[in-house]
Amino acid sequence: MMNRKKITAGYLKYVVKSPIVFYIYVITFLLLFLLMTNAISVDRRTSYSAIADKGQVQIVNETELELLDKRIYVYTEKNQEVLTLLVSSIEFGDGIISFILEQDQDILSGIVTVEAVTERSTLFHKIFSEVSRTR
Amino acid sequence: MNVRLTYFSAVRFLSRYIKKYKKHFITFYIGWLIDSLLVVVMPVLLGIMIDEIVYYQNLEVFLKCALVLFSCIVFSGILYFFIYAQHGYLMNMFVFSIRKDVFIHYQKCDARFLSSAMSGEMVSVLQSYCEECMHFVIRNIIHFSNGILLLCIYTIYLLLVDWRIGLIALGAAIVSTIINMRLEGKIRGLGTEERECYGEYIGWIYEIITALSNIRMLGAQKRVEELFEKKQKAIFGAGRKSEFAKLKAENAIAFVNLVVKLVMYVLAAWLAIKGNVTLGVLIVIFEFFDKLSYQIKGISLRYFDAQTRISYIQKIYDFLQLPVEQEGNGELLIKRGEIQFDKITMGYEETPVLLKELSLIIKSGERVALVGKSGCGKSTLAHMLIGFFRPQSGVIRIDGQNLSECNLRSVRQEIGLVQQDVCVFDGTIRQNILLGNKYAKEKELIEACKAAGLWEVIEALPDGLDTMIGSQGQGLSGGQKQRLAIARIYLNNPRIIIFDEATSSLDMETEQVIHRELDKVLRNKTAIIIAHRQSSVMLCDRVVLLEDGKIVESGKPYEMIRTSVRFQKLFAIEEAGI
Repeated sequence: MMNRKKITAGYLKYVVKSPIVFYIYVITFLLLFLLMTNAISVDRRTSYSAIADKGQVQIVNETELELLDKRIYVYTEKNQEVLTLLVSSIEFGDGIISFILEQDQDILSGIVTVEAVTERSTLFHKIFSEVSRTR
Repeated sequence: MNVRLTYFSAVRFLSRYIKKYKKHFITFYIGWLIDSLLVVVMPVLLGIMIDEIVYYQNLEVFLKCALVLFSCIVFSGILYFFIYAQHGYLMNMFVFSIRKDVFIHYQKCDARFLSSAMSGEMVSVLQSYCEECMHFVIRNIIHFSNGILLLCIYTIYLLLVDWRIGLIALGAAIVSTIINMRLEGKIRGLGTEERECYGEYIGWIYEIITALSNIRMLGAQKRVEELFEKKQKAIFGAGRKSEFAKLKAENAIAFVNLVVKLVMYVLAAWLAIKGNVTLGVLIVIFEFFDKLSYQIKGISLRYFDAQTRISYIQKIYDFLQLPVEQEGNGELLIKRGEIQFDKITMGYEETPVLLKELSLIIKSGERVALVGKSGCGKSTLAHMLIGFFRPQSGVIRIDGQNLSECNLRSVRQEIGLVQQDVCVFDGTIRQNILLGNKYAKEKELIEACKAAGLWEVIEALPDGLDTMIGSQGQGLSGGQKQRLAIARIYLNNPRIIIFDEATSSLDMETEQVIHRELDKVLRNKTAIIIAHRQSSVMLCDRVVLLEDGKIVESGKPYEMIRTSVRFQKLFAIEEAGI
């Protein structure tokens, strides 16, 4: 009985009449949220139009590209099938960037879209700044 | 005529109460705002998770995002605990502060504006309407503004995803707003009609319940049942009209939302086929559009509800504008107890002139009987003396002091009133008598009971003065109640006492007992006795006969019996000398 009275008195004092516990709770969560979302690194992929053929994927009219991850994503229709391919090396030619793929990987032929990880951002940035990036 | 409240003026009216609990309202609002923003963030997070796992098989990011999502859900759940704690507190305290203001104002209200019908409606005002103020603040201010904010966020997001989808969302919001504005006036009017109908019904029920025994004695149960049914049907009819109008509006908005939703789904599917949106974004679009439709519907509902609630707030506002009793600043001090009515003119709305330039002097220690036909202004004259009404012209003086310049507390301290209906509160006999003077000692209390002829009755009770009376305890007879009222007056010891048909409902024998006690009570006091019984009139030093708002005759009781034809007619005296 006495314990219940103490709990009730504490509830009234710290939760109802004074919002201090509420604000501590909210601020703690917001800080935790900021911490977590800024700590989680999310890949930023740039898509390019390319030609896939015999163990390599070539991007035309591009001269610079910094690949942060060995994986590239190749597809003709993104909502149908996306192939994840590993890149062994990159070659730069006259306005052509060639991804040389590792052996024994299924590959499409013809005109494709390739997505490569060119940047990394935080989850926080992705949620609040990149909302319009749908592709 | 009072101001017709709009949404913003209702908010302004309630703001003085909101300010008293500013801290709690801010906490409550922040809680809901954060919850609303989380509702926006969580689908976006889900969209990212789906894209990462479906297209890129990125399990690591998927699990990390899942952790963040889980934290948001847990946080949101605990957040409701705080929000509802504040809601519970505000529901009690905010509503209490409005109720208290209304109740205090009711106590101070000018008597001309009070009636038993209003008493019934007061119950609705105090109980239901005050609660509606809280619902107005929560649903029609806080949730409404949150809804608008979310509507903007969802629309902007959809516009950024694809301008066509965004335009469709914006179009839905605009069409719903137009429907709201078109139907607002009608819904408000119907809400007011419903409220007035309900208020009238409550007032009637209140009168019926207090007169139940009279209804039975008259055998009028059937008639009252028919009236009850008729009034219930009227309320049902008014409620149905109001609900129907709201339903029409809601259905119109729901239809618009449905059509827009279908168009939006078709467009989103086309964009997905074209490869312009990912699966994750598609899910976010559907989720946001669902929430957008929900918010549009919610905003519309709250807008219509606001119209009904504003009519309740209008009632409270109108009531708080009613004039209060007017009083002066001075203190009434009575030494001799001489009363002077100097050319008093007084009337009501129904009877524009009841008393016409009436002048009367009552000397110190004199007992004066005021007699006349019902409705001639006897009670009005007495009530003016205790400040219930102010004369339209003329002055009332007591020991030379202008009554209108004195404060009502001192007036009612110095002048006592015993009426036909004695108010017995739920409590002990002691508590009821001490209403006359809460500082009275036990000895004084017993003396008052003896002077009122009540002590024998009290001694016979097992708990004596601590016997519970009122609805929760022992009932008192009419005569005992009158004696209780006399005991109160004795304890209060005012210099002037008014008896307003105090013994009208008592039998002759009981009346004679009361009359015997009156001699002790009225010793050295100025008394005004308003009575329809000759036996009460005979106790007085002088009789004043009122007719057509004027004093037509005045004299000693025995002289009036012998010489006054009007007096003889009034008391149906067939022979002189009775």
